[in-house]
Amino acid sequence: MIRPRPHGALRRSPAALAVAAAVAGVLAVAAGASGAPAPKKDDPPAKPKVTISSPNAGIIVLPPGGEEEDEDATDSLLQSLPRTYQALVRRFGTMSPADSMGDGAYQWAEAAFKAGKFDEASKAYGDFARRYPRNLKVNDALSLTLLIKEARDFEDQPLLLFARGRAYRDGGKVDSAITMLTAAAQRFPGAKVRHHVHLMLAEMARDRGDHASALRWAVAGADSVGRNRIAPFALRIAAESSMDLGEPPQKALAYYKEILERYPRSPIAPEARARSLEIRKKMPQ
Amino acid sequence: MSPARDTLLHHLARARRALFRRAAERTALPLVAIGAVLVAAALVVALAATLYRGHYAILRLSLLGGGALLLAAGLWRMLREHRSAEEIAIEAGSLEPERKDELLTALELTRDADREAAAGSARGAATPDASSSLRDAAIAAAAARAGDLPMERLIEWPARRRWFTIAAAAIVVVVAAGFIGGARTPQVLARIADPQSAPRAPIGLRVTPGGKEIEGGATVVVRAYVRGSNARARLLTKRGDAWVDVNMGNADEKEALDAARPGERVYEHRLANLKEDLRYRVAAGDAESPEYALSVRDLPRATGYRIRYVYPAYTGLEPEEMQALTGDLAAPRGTKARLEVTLSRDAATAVLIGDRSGARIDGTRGVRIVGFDVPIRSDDAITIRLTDARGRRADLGPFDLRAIPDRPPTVTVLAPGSVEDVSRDMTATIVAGATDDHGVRKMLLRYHAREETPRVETLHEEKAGSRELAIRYTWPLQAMSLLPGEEIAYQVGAVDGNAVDGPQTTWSDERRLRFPSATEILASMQKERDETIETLEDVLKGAKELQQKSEELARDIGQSREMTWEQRQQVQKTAEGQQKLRDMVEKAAQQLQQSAEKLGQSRALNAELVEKINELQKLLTDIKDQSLLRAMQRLQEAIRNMQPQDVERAMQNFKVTQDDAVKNIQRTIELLKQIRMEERMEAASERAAEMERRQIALNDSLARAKSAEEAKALADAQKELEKMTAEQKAAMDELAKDLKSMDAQAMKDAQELSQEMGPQEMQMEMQQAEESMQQGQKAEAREKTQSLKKRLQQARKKTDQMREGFRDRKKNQLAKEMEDAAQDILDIASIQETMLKDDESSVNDRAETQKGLEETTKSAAQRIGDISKQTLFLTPDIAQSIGRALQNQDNAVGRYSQQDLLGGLMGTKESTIALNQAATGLLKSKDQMQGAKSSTGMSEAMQQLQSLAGQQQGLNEQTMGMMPGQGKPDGMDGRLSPGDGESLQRMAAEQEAIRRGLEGAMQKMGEGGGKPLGNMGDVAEEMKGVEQDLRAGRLGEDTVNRQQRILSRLLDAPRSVEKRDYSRKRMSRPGVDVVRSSPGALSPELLKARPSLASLLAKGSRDPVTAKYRALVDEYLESLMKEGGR
Repeated sequence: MIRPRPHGALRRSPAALAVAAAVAGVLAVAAGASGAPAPKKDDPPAKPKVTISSPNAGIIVLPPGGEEEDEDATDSLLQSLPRTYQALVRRFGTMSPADSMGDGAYQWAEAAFKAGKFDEASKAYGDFARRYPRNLKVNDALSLTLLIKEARDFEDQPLLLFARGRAYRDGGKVDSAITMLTAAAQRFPGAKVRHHVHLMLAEMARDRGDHASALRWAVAGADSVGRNRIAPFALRIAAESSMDLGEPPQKALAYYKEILERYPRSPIAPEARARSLEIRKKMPQ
Repeated sequence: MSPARDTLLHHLARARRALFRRAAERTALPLVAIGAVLVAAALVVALAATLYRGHYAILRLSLLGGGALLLAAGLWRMLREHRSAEEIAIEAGSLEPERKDELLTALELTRDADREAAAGSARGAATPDASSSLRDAAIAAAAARAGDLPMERLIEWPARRRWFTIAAAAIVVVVAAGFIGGARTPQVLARIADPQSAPRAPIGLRVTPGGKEIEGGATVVVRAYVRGSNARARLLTKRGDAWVDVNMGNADEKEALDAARPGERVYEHRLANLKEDLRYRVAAGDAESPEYALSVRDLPRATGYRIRYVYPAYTGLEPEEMQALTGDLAAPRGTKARLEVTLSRDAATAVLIGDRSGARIDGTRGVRIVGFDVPIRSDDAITIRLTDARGRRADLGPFDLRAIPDRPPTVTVLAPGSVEDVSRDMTATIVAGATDDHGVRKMLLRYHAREETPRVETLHEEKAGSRELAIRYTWPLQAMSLLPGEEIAYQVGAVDGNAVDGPQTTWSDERRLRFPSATEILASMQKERDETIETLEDVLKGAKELQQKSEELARDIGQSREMTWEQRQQVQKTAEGQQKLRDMVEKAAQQLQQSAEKLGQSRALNAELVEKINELQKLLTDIKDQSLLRAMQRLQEAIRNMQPQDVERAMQNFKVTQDDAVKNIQRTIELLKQIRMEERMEAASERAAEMERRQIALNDSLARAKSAEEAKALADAQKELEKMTAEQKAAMDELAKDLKSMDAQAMKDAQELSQEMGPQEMQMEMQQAEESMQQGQKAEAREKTQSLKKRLQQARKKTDQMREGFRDRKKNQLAKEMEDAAQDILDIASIQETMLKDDESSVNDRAETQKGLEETTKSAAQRIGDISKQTLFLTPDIAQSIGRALQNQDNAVGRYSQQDLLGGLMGTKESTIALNQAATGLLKSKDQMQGAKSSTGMSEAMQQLQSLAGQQQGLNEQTMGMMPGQGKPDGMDGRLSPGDGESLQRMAAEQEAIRRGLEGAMQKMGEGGGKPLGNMGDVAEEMKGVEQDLRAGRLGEDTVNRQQRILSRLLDAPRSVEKRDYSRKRMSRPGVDVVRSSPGALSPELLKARPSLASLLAKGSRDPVTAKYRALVDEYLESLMKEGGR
């Protein structure tokens, strides 16, 4: 499965990251000492205004925006200190330099993929996976290698559209991505990459809150004809979207059931089983 | 001067002379008288008494002394009688008593006158107190008177007469005594003159013991009793021809003194340890005893023997010398022996007598030693005959004389076996050892292929000869141009360096090197493979039983506080059972290794298959050395501890380890079954190819058959092919049956092939062809065989396709499964990665999700395990990565459950990385598996070679068609037609094109790192020869035969190419490696008491190395070779 990449990165050096962590720690202690208001239980869980990840050599990634937004983010960091502190500890506690070592090579492969140089990209992904086995992007690299290998049809046009759509999406240009991917789905409905296209469209629609579209694309992505490894993931989105749309739980249950029946070996299966049980419990007897 | 004075002086001079005469008489006469008295006395004494030498000596000395004294006295007397002028004047004056002083006065006056004259002449005046005239007158008167004096009377002296009387009397006495002495007188005079001529004085001398016979080694005291002399007795002993004397000492023993008679002195000398006869005598003063002999009673006897062998030069042996207890001689023929016998006493003569040959060898004698130079020529018995100084005879012996013949060398060929297949690189490594009692000089190889005249090659020549020689010779067989099924017969020979009777050669038994067909090799593998699988299945069964038992045992032990004796025994049995399993696995591994080596060295099997077998062998070795061994070690630790808890834990661990072993064994069995199937496919393919080759060869022979008889003779070959066809059909039926559950397409192919090979189709056609041949219907037979050739060609292609298809499908299926597995793992990793970025999920949710993913990972791991049973490309690092992932996932679940978010995340992250690595490994393995064949370019080379073989076949047929006598119009038999020249040029060009194609293929193979087409270089050379023949317009039997050989090699080449040289262990080592070894190094026991060469040889065994050590020697030589190879 090809997962979306974070975008709009504000890059800082590892030293800055360490300083930030230290500052955060001090602030956290200070806040605790000064009796800063802790989040109440009843309060709805605040959406994280700052997401911190480690995709690019231990860089703090903030949401896209101008400098003002950066300042806002810093403010919100201070405001939501305990949660952020937790996130920082979680991230920094699990991070290591090897996680991002070789990102340059990955970016180079990505560039080739986006440019439609699939042979070159495949080789570059392979080299990257071999040279930097501890980098967490190895998974994506290998998935893309497999995709390139199996989805070379229609003179690579569908794959090229998918690559561009993925690039737009990773760059935060979701509309462009949707346009590109929709075009791919419409122009090459029989392409081998179609399931990936559908799934990505479903994911983007879900992220935008367009549950109807998400359901539609997800169902399309869960096409049961032929070999389709994406189907369980698409079915999961379908189930989630169905519930978000307020459809009867039986529908969602049917999607989960389909996962369990058709793809019992899928990593989604345990989750599907759990969700099924939850739905059944909630369903009137 | 006055005349008176002169006259006076003249008269005084007369007086002086008279006086002198008187003095002389007075001196001489007494001397003579006394001397005569002395002589008379001596003579009388000498005549009267018995005098001996000493007496005479004294007598002579006395006479000489007396004489000397007399002379001295005489001289003294003469000097005393000297007178002055005054005294003379007085003596003369005394003749006239009254005027006795007148002359003296006158003399004085003359002197005065002289003085005056002297003074006067000085002063010129006379003395005033005397008258010169007066003085002159006085002087004149005195002178006158003196003239009157009877000066003669001065001679007389008073005792003159008495002395004359005495002297006369003495002389008379002397004369009388001499007269009376008669004849003795001159003797006595002579003895006086020379006392040495006189007899010695008699001395009494007695010697004990005188002559005596004594025992050898006795001590003898020689005593001398001397009487009549004070001289010390001396003992003279004879040494050779000389006498050696030694002074005897004084005897002081009572016994000796008592034995002395009155007046005797006693001397003695001790002669100790007399071993030899001794001659002696004693001397005392002038006396000497007679010569006595002390004779030793013993005969000479031998006290020791020393033997020195000088071996013949060709043996290369150093001369050897040894002490011996007897005079037995044993040495190689031609040896020169020197036998020295040390004796108890000297021998006067020594002769060595050959009892049988009658030969006599005179010995050289030394001090108590005799020596003989004995040439060792033939067996004999020898006696040494000694004679002592007294002529007594003593014989020593008889002794054995053993002339050991030079035995022919022995040859042992360690490798190859008596009948062995030629290795794929067309070489055979001969490891042979030869032994010879005196040294192997040459190692030979005699061989012949087909019906050729045997050829002999010298593999190695040893200058000095070596008693044991091992050689390893890498024999290139390419030049023999062998075809499958042909064989080379060979023998290894060893030549010794016998220079006495001439070199001897021994040949080993005849051995054979077969050039096997691939079918034969593969068929022989089937049984081995079945056995290995059976063994492993037994192991698997045993391992499972052990696992179950250990589980039960662990349970029992866990419930008890102390281990019972029965429980201990059971644990012990479990360990023993495990050891048995190890042994069985080792046996299976060895079987696999052997078959891999066999296949690797033969030309038959493709490298991929050999590689698989090798990998399996490694897998089994790992099982044996890791899983099973570790389980055993744990058990043994448990047995040592004897604590129930420890044992229980150990048994649990044993179970876990045993699990690994069981899984690996299952995997090995599955893989072996798969390999067995591939081998069967391969065998079918090879058999099809061989059938095609044989049919082509048969067709060619049929085309060349000139008579019906020749065609008839080929019927058997066709029958053989028919038999092969039946075998192939049976094999296809079997394959179809087994492929039913594996590959439907392959099964269908096998069924079709079986159908084609059936009695109604190909077999029937073969029977028809055979019948035609038997009936001598050549044209009809050719037609049928051509058809058969095409059918067989098609069958071969189809079989190859079936095999390739099966392999490709299997490979594709596996590739697909591997890719799916990788994708599954990537999906799991992807979800985990999402979890890492998830900031919202609760820790419990994470635990749940992680748990689900762990289960999914286990399921994926199971699928990967299943794949690994079908391919060896899955490397252990994949399993390790998955194991790591599972462990981290489990850890993460635990952490999340304990609300340890950070720890859980770490576990998730690590498992994600491990899963990524597993996926990478899987994809890499898949790529390797898929690219394994095509990357070598082997298929292309095969196709090219097959194409070349087809072209060559076409060309051969054309050549056959143009051969004189083949379908030519009447009258043209034996000659080429006018247009044939052009055709020959075209054919030459075609041959050249084929050759270039071959060279291209060879180059391609060379670039691929492989051996260029299994030494096809000679084929290219053959092709050049054909080209030249065709261009020169020569078209004869030779050209056709050469083309036939080319075709055979081309047809065979693809098989060789596909299964090209593959062996990591084998090393090419051209030339001859030689190892020489001394017998001493063969075994420690031999070294401990290494016998002399002579005694070693005297044992008479044909082989210098005893049978007991023969195997050891062979093993030793082999190990030397192996080391040499490294």
